[in-house]
Amino acid sequence: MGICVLKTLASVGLSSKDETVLKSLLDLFGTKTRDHWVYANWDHADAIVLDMDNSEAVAQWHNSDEMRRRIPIALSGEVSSLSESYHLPKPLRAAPLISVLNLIVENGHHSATAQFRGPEQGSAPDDADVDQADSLAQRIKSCDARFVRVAFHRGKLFLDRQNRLCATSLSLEQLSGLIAELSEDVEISESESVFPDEEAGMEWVADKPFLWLIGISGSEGRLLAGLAPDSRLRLLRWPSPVLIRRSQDFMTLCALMSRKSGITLDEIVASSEVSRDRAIAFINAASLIGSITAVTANAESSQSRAPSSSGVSKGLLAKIRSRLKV
Amino acid sequence: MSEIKLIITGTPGAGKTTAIAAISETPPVRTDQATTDDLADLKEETTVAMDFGDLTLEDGQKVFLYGTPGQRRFEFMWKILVQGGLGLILLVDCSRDDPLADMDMYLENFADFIEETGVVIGLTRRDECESPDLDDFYERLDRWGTVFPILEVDVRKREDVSLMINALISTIEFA
Repeated sequence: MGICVLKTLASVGLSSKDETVLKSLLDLFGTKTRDHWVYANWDHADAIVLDMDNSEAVAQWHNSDEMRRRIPIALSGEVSSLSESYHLPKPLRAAPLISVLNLIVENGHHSATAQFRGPEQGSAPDDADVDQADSLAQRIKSCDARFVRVAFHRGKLFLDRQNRLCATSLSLEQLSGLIAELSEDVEISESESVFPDEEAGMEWVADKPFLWLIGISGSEGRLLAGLAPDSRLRLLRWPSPVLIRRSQDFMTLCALMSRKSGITLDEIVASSEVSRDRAIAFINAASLIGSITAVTANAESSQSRAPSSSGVSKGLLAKIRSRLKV
Repeated sequence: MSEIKLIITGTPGAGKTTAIAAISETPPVRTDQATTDDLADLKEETTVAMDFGDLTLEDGQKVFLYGTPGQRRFEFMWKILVQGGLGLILLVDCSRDDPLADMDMYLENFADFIEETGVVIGLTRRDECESPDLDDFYERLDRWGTVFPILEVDVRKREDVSLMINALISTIEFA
């Protein structure tokens, strides 16, 4: 008789009804899986069921390094195939849940990081493995050819780098979900000529919203090559309101990076409440859309223009934001 | 408790009065008069002293929104209204003949106030005219040596006015 290990499962962003169903299913069937699964808070969990239809939950996932160390199980009303990775369709049912939990045990996954970043155990790292270790943002940034194809399991995205255009059947929300599914294999290919037929019928649109999303969601806490943590970076222009209005972090980062002297990553983290990973994602996103530059500045000019000259307190500004509900 | 006020300026017809109406929790006080000069073809009434609206913070403190008269002949009013202001929102009507020159003129006239506080630039009526390109506006800002936020907005929408105010106070706090 094999040894049965106790595993813990949490959820993020589920409706109260879905959470109740999940807990009930675990109570009923948690002992019938290969390991014994019980419900727990996410910070004590081996795996997390993440509601991909809840944008706030997805953002919470992206913003928490601690949360991202857990094995993600994507729950969505739009998932049509359970053949790959860890997906659950809505509404929650016992059979798919048991299947996914068994699959996790079968695959021997212990952390999301190991799941999508590292080479397979026992295999020597080769060039291909090194490429896989790059973040999605880096892999796209590294493409030199005019046309780039980014193939996810459930959709493709084409980039025309020369004309700064994008063609895809995916919505921004779908793309966000695909990037968030950390086990998703992404194939990137490039060509100097258009990929024949594949993008037929798709409309070419401005690429910025898509590149921005890839930078924000696909950076994995690593700056793009060529952007050093001690580089003084400055915005060339503020990103479109559509891209920044959802997050106060973005507004803060825009303001910090508007300084004449630019600002380093360490200075950003020291002078704001924005996490390092979040700042890296923003910098990468701004770099992908061509909105930042590196500047040289002496220490004196790198100081912030003190708002105290107008006697403004941070508390007052926070109250104004609260009033605006931003 | 000192008065907290945000200043909204810009070309006649850019939407200063509309912006205040969109965000103010009380109906804005207006000082519009029938237009008698060359603006008569553009709008029937124009602001001659100021527009005024307000927001109440959670502790009861008020934030006042002052809209300046747009026409340059009321320049003397601009200097009076900005005294003690928190920052400036500059609205540029992109349907006018030379929006870049309009932006320059207001930035120069409010330069001292901007240096002490901050500014956000809102481009309005972009649905009527998409030129100049956003990059052209940013190129004009090069000589300021900093990057002011330039946002394409619809000032009839509360969320767009909120966005400008948030960009302004973020600039004041962090830039």
